Amino acid sequence: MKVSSQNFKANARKALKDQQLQTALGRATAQFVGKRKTAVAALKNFEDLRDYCAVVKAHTLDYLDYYLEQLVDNVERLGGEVHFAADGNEANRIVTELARANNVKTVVKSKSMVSEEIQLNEALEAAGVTPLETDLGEYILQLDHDAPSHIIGPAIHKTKEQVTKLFHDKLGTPLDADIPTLTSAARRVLRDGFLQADMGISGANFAVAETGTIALVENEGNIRLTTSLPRMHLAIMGLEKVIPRLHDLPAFLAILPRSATGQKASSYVSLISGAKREDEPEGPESFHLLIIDNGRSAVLADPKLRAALRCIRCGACLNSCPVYQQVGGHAYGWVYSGPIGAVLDPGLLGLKDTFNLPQASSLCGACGEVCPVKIPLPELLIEHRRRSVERGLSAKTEKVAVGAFAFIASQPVLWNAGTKMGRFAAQRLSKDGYLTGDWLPVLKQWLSERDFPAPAKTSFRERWEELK
Amino acid sequence: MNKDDFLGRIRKALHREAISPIEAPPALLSPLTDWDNAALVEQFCDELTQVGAQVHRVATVKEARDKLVQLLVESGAKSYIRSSDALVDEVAEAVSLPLAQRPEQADIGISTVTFGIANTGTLVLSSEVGRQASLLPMTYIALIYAEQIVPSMTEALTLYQRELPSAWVQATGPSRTADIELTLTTGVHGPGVVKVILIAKH
Repeated sequence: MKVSSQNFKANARKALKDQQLQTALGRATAQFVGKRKTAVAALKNFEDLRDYCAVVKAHTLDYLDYYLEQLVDNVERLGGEVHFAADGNEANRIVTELARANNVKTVVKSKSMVSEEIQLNEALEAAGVTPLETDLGEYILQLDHDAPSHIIGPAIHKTKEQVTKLFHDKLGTPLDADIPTLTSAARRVLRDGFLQADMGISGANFAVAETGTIALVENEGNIRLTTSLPRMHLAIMGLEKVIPRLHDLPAFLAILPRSATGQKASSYVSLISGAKREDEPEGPESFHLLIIDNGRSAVLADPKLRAALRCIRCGACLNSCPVYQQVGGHAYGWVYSGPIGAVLDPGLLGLKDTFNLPQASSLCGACGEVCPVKIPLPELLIEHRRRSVERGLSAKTEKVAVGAFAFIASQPVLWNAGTKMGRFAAQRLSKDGYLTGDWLPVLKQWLSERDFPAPAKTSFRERWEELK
Repeated sequence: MNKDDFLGRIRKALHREAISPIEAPPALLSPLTDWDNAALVEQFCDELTQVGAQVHRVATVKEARDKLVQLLVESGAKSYIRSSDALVDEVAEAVSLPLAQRPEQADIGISTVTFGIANTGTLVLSSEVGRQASLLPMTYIALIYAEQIVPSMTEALTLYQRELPSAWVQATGPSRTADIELTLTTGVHGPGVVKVILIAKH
């Protein structure tokens, strides 16, 4: 996915005016939030599991070199081949080279955010390899040349009507097709794709260092097909996906589906340990693992931001965020949206093009409350804002206003006179208990997105004097 | 980039040299060693039903054979595929339906499972007996003994005590998607219908 985070404000304004998007978003996030809440409430040790998963992830990141090396050794012990890429270009080069060397013509892919990050599909196509997205949501987006807008439901921004029209145009399904009809049409087309593909490319939810096992979580079954039918399986992971032991998995698998979709368990969890063994009847002939940095080691090196690498991509912070609920994923301009995107994207891409993302938050704290691995998202949003100011990236008017406030606030005479004048002016500008000021340039812009209660007639300090 | 350079970058980010083995945090979930199997069977059946699978409880392998024949007749399937192991051999003996010429053409798949997980109604499927029977056809029939049911994933992993197979799959109910307007639809890629024949006695 190409980065367009620098256009956040324009993207967001467009999203707010898109009625179809607003309908789809409102429906989706409300449903996700409700289901998560019920599922979490039903699990009595949820908070213990959350603490545990946060500790395990933080520990693994602190000793990442040790656990990654253990993972690599075990994958190789099982006959797998491990590849390393510093960035997206190198990763794409490795994958296309692997395809060329093994005479791969078509690839089936299961959902992988890191592959979106590095624009793998474009690279494969340029190398003459046809990639087919097999997650239903991703398939819809591939047909429509669109990008994912949510980690869990990549196509939640689309309405049924849009999908029906798209499938009618591309697959010939009737214009009045219902959702099961659309789904079975996709099943038919994609099943052929699975049977013909030479290589399956999956992501990785967790990589177990102790056993060299890749854990993949899904509901559709396309990951099972991707990792079972083609003669080659390549799993792609960001370097932060490692966990130490197999016995850590049950805890993560308890919190992930509950946080993501409100399910007790996802339909399928695949623990993949290398390619088909000699005594097994079916499975891929070879297994490859590609571990990608692409900006992550810089986030790891940052003591404050390191916690963002704990993320297990459940999407709960997106659903709970009042900003995401309004603007959707595309406005953020990159693969990771919502609060985790506003924290991670500046870390991975640099603040220069992304400093608007952490500004787009009411700091209500909902994201921090729902995060199953306790990433301090609100604090990290503030940290990015602090750094944006330090580096002179924030708006000039803001700088002038804060500077003026600091000066006045430090001079008691000015402060007393200023608050009196301000209150007098504000009362003139208020209507029905709220501040109006449509004719003042800066105030107009500020008030266009906010309701500001009119100030009281007398200040607290004045009343205090009287009451004494 | 080679492994050493890659790990070197990480060590640089962590501001230190390579370190010797370290202790992971103490495990939170420890496996139970003792449980009431009858209660687990009830829980397993309840959870399976809740995730949309059908449970058929039988007393013996012989009854399982009759049940399987009945389910196949009712389904109107034309051909099937199966995993290769002793229990399926025994139960599928009475089946007159032909095996599919090609696995992807089968209407029904039949396999055994490695464990049943009670707290989520999950079937643990192992690539040791194959992958396709529980994956390709629209209907999947699982065969399980009551004694294979364990409380949770933690006990399943603990009891396995061997190197994991190339694919250890935990399947909970039918294949599902909610990618179009969050409307739940089953059978998008894997089986849309899951039936479990639960055999009480070994």
